Amino acid sequence: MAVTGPIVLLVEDEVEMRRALRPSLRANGYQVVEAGTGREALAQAAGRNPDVILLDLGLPDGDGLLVVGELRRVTKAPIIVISARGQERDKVAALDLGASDYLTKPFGVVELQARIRVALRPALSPGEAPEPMFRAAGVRVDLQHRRVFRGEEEVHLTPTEYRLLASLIRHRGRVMTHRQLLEMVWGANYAEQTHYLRVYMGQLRHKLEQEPARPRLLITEPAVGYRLRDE
Amino acid sequence: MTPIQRPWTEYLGAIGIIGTVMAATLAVRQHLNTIDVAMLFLLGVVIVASRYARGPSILASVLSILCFDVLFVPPYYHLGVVDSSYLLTFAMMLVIAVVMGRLTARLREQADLARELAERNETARVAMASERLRTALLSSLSHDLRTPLGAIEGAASTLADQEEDLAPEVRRELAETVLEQSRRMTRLVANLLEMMRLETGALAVRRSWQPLEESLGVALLRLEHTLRDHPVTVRLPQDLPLISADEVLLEQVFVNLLENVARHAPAGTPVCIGAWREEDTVVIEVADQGPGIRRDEEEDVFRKFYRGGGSEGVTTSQGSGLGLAICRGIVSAHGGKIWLEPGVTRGAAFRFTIPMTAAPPVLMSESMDTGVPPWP
Repeated sequence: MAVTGPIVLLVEDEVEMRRALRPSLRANGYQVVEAGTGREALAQAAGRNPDVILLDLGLPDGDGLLVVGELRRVTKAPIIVISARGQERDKVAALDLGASDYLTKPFGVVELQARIRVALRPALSPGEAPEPMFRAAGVRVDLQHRRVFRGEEEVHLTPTEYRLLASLIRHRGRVMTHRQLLEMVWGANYAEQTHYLRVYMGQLRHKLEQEPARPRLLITEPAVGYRLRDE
Repeated sequence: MTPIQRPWTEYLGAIGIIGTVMAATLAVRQHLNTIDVAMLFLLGVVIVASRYARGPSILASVLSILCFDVLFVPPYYHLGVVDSSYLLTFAMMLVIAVVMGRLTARLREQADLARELAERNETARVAMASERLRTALLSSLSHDLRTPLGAIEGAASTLADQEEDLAPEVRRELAETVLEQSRRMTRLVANLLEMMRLETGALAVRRSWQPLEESLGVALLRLEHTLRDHPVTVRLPQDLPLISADEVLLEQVFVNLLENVARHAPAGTPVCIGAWREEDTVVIEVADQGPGIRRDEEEDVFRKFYRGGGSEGVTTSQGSGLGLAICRGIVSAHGGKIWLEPGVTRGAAFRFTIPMTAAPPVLMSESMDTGVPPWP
């Protein structure tokens, strides 16, 4: 076990939850730093310079959402928020405040590890081009020539469909909120027009997924947004 | 319960009755002798006394005496009597009014008491029935909560106390028990919370326009493991309109219906999910090829904590008994209906509707050129 692995700051007020998560994080080579309150989290974030932050939104001292905003000011480390089912609004708010992903309680260790891996992957800076070829779930996208294949067959996408797919590929593995995608693909005027996004996502699924009602690639995050699954 | 309407309506009633007697008697006075007339007025007094309290009865008798005296007893149109035997008639009228009035009052009191007793009995009966139901629910609920907890505690304490003595595969099995049972607990608690939210009206429906396929897709993905033994067919028409619904709740309806299938239909039997437009609603169907549901249970299955069972060849259900009740709550919150389609020859077909309260938004069409898109 490497002592020099990435540092995970675990912000969680329940001792039991910390005790349950610690061993699996350590077993995967992470150094675990813990905080039980928002204030401790801020101190640890400033002092230990974590590589990724796991933040439970239901902290006792004040609003978890406030902590997201304050953490964002002291560190650039990606924040994965943890919250319960039914708190979709909080998730969206946390993501809008700069959290990079979320996990819904209760979650499995496999899911947690996958989220951390994606969060630790360096984000592309705005001008930077992604790898020229994307492959997942039987779909191949040549980003350089803007061509899309399902198996061996080329698929024709409309410009909007392609922009949507390319936006998701750019942030693959990560959740993208409805607002983020609408602004990226349709522009700021469309930020509330969620039905556009849903309809085009449906079209994309019908062109790319084997079973559009059981997607493998274009995953819905209910009431939050979408995620392009790449593993 | 008779409200206290005695005061003036009863006095008016008494005046009305005696007035009627007087009018009737005047109309046919040629054919009557004085005794008949006295009897008719007495009848009036008896009627009043049998219906109203003592006050109006006395009023009726006094009125009768006055009418009788002035109109029918010589000297006519004059108070006072020639024959003193009429005084006895008057006195009798008064006595009858008082006695009858008291009798009526007592009868009325007894009727009130009887009614009150009956009501109290009914309340007690309902209270007892709901108490029995509550006890039954509590005992089934505590069983449902204790069973997985017991399994978790047993497996975990074995792991904690005898770790070194256990073979790796035993350890693994115990860990899997903990995992499986805690998932069962999670489902149960989630259902209980959802039911509470529905019943306390704390459930907020956040509608948005969406293709039905999306929520269905989330549900199918969530249930990938649960439905592994049931091939799923989805038939949605291309032109199915967008629906206005809460995606998280809609997904829950699908999850509950499909979990129900997985629980009751034998492994290997298929599930068919379809939808179509019917007038102002979209109808959604989840049909299985399981043992079906008996006609007399078609409504019961939507009841809280009701568990179908007894179907041969199917393992005892492990559900919370809340799934379908939650479905009904969610669908009603959307203004729709959910029912078990009768007359299905094989398996069970659940149907629910999502009403189309408004026209779905129109999307501006995109030119269908497939040329190189503008990017970035």
